Amino acid sequence: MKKVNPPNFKVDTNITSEGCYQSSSPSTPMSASIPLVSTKQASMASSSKESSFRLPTVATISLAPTTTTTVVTTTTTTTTSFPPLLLKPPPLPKQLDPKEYPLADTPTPPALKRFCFDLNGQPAYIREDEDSEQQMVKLREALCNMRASGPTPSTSKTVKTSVTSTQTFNENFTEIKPSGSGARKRSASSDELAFDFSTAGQQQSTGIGSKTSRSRSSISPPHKKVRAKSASTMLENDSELDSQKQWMELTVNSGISIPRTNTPLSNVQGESTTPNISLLHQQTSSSSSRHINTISTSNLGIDTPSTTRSTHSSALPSPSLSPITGTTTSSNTNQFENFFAGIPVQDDDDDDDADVDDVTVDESLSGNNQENWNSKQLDESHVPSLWDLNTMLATFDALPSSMKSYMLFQLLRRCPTNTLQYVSNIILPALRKDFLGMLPLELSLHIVKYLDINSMCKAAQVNKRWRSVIDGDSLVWQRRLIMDGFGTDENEEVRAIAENWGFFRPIARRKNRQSDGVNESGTSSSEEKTIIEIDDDVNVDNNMKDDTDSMKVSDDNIKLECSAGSSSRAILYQTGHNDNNMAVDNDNSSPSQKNPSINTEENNGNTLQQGSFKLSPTGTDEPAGGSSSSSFAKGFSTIQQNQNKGKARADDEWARFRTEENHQGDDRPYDGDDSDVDAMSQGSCDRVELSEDRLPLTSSATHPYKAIYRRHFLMRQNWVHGRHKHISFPGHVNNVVTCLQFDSEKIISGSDDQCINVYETSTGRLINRLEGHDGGVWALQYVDKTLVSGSTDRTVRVWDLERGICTHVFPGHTSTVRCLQIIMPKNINPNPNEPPVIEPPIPLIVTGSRDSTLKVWNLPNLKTDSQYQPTIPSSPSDNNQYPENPYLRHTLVGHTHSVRALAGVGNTLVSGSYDCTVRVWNIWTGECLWRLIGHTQKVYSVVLDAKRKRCMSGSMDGTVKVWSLEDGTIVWTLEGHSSLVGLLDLSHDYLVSAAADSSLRIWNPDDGTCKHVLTTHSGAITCFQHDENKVISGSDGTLRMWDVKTGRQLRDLLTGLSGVWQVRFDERRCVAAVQRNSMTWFEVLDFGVYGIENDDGSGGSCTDENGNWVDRRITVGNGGDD
Amino acid sequence: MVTEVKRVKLTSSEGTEFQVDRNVAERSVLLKNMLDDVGESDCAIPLPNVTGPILTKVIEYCTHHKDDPPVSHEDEFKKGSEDIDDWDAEFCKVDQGTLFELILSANYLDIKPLLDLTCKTVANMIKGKSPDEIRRTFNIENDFSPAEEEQVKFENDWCEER
Repeated sequence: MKKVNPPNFKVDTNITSEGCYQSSSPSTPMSASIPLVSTKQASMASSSKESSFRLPTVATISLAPTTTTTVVTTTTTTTTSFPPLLLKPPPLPKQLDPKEYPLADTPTPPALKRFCFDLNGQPAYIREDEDSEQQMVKLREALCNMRASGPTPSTSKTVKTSVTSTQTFNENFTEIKPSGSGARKRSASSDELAFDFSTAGQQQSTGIGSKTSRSRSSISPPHKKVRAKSASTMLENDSELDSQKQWMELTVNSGISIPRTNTPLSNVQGESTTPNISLLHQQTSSSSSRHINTISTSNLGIDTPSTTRSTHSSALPSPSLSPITGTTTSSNTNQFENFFAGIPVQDDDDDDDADVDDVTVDESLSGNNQENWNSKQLDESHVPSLWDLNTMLATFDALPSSMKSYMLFQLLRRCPTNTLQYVSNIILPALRKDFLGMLPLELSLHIVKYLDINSMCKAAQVNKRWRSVIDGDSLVWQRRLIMDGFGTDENEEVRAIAENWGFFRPIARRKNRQSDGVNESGTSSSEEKTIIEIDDDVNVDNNMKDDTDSMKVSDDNIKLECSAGSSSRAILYQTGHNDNNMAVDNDNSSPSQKNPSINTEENNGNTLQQGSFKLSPTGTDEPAGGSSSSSFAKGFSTIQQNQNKGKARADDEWARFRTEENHQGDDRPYDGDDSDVDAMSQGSCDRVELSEDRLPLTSSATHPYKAIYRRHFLMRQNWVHGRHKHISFPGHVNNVVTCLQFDSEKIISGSDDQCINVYETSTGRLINRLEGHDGGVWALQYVDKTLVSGSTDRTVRVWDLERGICTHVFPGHTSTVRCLQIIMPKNINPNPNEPPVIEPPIPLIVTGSRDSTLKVWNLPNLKTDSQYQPTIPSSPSDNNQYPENPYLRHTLVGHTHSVRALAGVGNTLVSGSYDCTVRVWNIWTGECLWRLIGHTQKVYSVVLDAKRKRCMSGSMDGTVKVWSLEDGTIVWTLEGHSSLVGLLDLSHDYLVSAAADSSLRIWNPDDGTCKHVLTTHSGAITCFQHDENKVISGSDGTLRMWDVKTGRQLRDLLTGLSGVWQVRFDERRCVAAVQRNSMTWFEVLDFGVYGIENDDGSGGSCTDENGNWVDRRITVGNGGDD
Repeated sequence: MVTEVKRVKLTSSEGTEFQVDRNVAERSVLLKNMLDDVGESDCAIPLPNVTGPILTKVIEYCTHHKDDPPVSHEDEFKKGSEDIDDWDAEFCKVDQGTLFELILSANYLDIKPLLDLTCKTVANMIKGKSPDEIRRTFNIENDFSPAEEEQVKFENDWCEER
């Protein structure tokens, strides 16, 4: 028995410490007798404080299955149910800034209020009491009673446990003694540690007789921060594992010793000293766990482990230890069970007076003395020992995870903000998840689906894994194409591969002008009527043909001639990922190709090696092209090996593409077979050193859809920013262009000069001139290679665009053919899940004439039908003298004046006439369905709204009328225009009307409201087109672009003109036929160059030295035009 | 006929048992199918792939949404990632680890609305960030070499507004 350490009642002003904590370190266990009264008082005081601000947490542990007793905290009898855990609230004095301890008042999360864990294969339950305050009261009462009655024996079951524990205890006990030396050593180490904490120690150290006690005191915790540090340092410092182990043993022993204490107080007391002392013992025994708790709370147990068991025991009044942890202490070796077993023991010990409750008091362990305990378990202080940390951690390690969560929560409640922040900074990064990297691919893609394009591109740069996830899946990109309004097109896949969209790097600026290869060979099948003259800026490279042969032979060059490209210029691209040429002759894949050609074979040789990409060529278009197309597909997906065999071009780093629009994939009328006569001569190209010989990463995509998306996206951006390449060329001399249709391959214009001209879209070169009509051409339309035209000569002519000849002439109308439409069979069933309804069964032509009739014709099949060119009657009256035209199906009679406009979908046709009426026909049966009467003036324009089963008509009376096709009634009359509504169009859910009053109006076809009025034109609107983004309208001398959504004027595409005859646009280009200086010109604005095609620095350059876009008009002469 | 609410027992991976109403459990297609197949049973359904805390969250979600009308997956997708109601948004304010587990569990339990919600949440965490910000957000290492990074940047910088 050593000196009695008078409890230190001095209260730390530290925020962290509660009064009870601060009570000085108790004396060595055996010898020291703590003035009970004082402790009591302290505890009482603190308890009262506590209750005033914070409620302790009361939780119950129980073993579920075996226990019959309820889990109520007060249960004392059954072995399986443990005494309530009394977890003191964080000891925060009032004066402390509550903000410092943000979690202090946090109630236990529901998930932690009740949980189950596995206790040695036995499910154990912990339940926190809902009303902890009430529970406290009960506890206190129980304690009081117990005290009064004296120690009550624990139930038999408890006895059992105690027995076991005692056994262990005995063993341990024996061990303990030897360990004492180790403990001393410890003490030394603890002293070292104490050094760090000396300040605190000084404060606390009240009379401590033993060294150990000193050390403790010295170590006694200062502010929490410091303590925390000390704790960590201590752990670190404990370099000696052995000592640690010993220490552990000690603690274990002590824990085990508890059972001893379990013996009725009398016993304990008898053995040791006073019950108080016994309490101390208990503390020691449970100390480890307790310490943990205490540490967690605020005071890191700084007690020196060095002290002998006794010191341990006596040493530490731990303030707010949860008994659980305490018990667990022993469980270094996962002896969680023992730990629990220990608890009851402790109970016995603690309070001879109190039973289980006392055990619960174990928590009170903190307050060690029975007295304290009795007075208030909560308040009891336990002077933590630094050496408790080991035990504490060991205990914690032994806890089941759910218990860990619970205890950690209790710890966190005791942490100040900065500690929490520190913890948070440690935890949060650790909890971060690389979602795309760690989730299964399908789930990663599910996330990617929700990304916008910009985020997708950003995310693809995160790391390799993300790149492959995002770029690698075609469905994600196809979906994004649809979502962003670009749609998908089967042919695009072929094109993208063939043209290497987006997979090339832009060519470094060429020092020398690259020949802008105009395809001279492109007109094999049709006589080239005109010699193309190109401005100085554009050179025709004479070397091209010379090089052609060699190219074909060269196996180093895999020639890619895709039929898809829009320009016939030969363009050199740097292939994206290889130092090889990837050129695939797309012609090889077309049936028309004479020779699958050496190239293909070579291609196979070169490219088959890595064939991950599978491309299914569209069978209809390229029935014979399977092999070659697959070969180039493979080539696409792979890095072709450049087999530089030392041949002349082996070093050619560039793939050459001759791109030609492959409109439908089957015919290539203007290229014929000699498409292999590629334009470019290698020699004419100044090779540019690659900025990088080889890209470090291979493509992560096995599909072209990202490239497709990129192309669409860039085009849209170019429209927004007005970046286009501008080519202009004259045509039709000075005549009116009455009709215009184009695609990326050709522009076809009908004119009052009786001619139909065919131009090459990319260059403006006149490809063909279709002559035959004896009057002005006023209507035309082509589908695929079949062109149908109507003229003032009263005939309808059918032309084979591939051969450039007129194949069919249909006389019949007795006056000008003013309007016509080719109506292709189409599924008109709006429900895609139902069987399709194809109307009409075969392709038809419908023509409207000034003779007030419409005629329905079979569309000739140019491939199977022989030509039909009857002698044209010299006068209308002679019509009947000729044999019946086998192509004529019906003559739709009913209108009483000129048929000015028509529109058809499926079998339904709407016609507008100068007789002020609109008629609805079934063109397959020839019957008139409705005669729509309402307009007061001539009808100039009609559209058919199949989706809503309506039609619209624009009239000279200034109105647009919306009719129901179902009952023939007027749905709405759209008013606003003040004069002739000559133009009307419906698409993308916008109904747009253009009038002679110089305005356009945008209507909502769903409710007939006028959304916008476009008013800045100064003359009658002569032409317009719109899509989901924009309206382009021509009037006076201006071609103007508007935002269809807002009605805002975006920009003038062309100005300074005398007039605009026609305008059409597609995704990439805008083509206008205009009058400039009394001459007719075609203006082609190509928005598909910047960022998409190589700006090769040739005459067509659209960027300046700095790479900035320059809007420059390139005039191309068409020598043969006259 | 008043159908009394049947209770279903679920057992999480660590053995904790949960009792939920059957209509709550049936938000999970997996459980619905199991229940339909097995019929009434007092046996707890083991969910070895779902931990207790995650199962708690899942049940919380399913309970809140137990009366939702069925929504086709495609419709949900079309609504876009921004369309998350307040409760759902609050529900997803969890650490990434939990979110990660929720995604896996939603997939495993076949609760499409929850899968959509959680994936949207992750997508929203990605949106608007630079590659480096994304890396920091998710604690991802950049394994590109400088040259590779340059290439990747080139591959993707077209989407910049320019």
